[in-house]
Amino acid sequence: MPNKKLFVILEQVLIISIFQYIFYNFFHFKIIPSFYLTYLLILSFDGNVEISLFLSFVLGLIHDIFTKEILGFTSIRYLVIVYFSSFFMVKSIKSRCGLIFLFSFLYFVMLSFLKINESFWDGKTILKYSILFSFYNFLIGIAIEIIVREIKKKWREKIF
Amino acid sequence: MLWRFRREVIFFLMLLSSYFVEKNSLKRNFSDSDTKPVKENLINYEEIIQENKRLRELLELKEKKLIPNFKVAEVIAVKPHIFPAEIFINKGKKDGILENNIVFTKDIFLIGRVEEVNDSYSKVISIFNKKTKISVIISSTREVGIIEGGYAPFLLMKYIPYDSKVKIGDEVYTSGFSEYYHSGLKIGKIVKISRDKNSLFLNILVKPYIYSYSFKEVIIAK
Repeated sequence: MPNKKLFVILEQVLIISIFQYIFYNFFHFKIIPSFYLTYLLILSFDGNVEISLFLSFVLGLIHDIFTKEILGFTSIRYLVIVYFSSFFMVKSIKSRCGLIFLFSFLYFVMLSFLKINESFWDGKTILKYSILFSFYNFLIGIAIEIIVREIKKKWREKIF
Repeated sequence: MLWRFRREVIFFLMLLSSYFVEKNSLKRNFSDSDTKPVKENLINYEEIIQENKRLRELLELKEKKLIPNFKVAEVIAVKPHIFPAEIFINKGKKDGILENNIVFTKDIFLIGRVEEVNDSYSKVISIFNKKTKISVIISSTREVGIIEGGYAPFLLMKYIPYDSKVKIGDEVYTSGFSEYYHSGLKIGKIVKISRDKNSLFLNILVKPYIYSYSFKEVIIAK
């Protein structure tokens, strides 16, 4: 049933949003992992490229509302990353997590090149925070992968 | 044909939409700010209470006449969201904001200065910004150096002689020798002192007081 896929994605987005919201509001870390980015990458690795691109726009806007950044700024970054990640169709969790690390790194580095002026931070700082951000995303990538699979499994068992 | 390139088509459509949203978001942000209090009143009482508390503290500042003439502005956007280098505030030309006005927190910790003024909003460059260079003085030794941004989450202090008696924990203030900043504004505390081989100066890292400041309201003064 085509509607089933929509429900699966909606439930996944909802759960991921709850996690992202909790992290933004209750954890006062300087670097907060991006559940949205990790989820979009997983979605794209699964072959749902069109949905992933559309969600990049929507989730980017939600992210900007959470973080008070200029609306649309994160959407652009999500879109670019998801577009390039869509050329990789990987199935194993190991390779997926590796790619999540790589694309998270690129996403963070892109932050310093998409600015209006010259880069805000020096290279060493960008590198330090990029690695930290990518590592966090790598870890939550495993968790999201499990959540996504569980939701899919649950919906597969449901009979309409 | 179009179906074959659907990925590229969706990508460019979404990218274009994001670009237009970004372009218009600052203006929209500002026009929304008139109706915002009503919406928030319905949704989040806790936020209103916190805002009230912060504004009370700002009012105290005025009553005590610590700063004779200042304006309070709301932060409408920050870029990036950690250690922001650019901050957008909801006050502009028509509110009397001028270029190079100083911006600080209610505790009089320096945030930065106004770089660009539009009719209804302004852009502030913070001390984390790479463009920032401020003449500062060390509280204990009274030595004058230059503080530079671009080393988030810290600031780099330069031109302090290697034989200086500066120590970790010393406070750093503006010296008043800068073009834009007057003297005595608190910037931060020294957290690391090192020296490059053969260099006549120390490399000092300063942890700014605004390190963990949540940018909601700021004070603007001349």
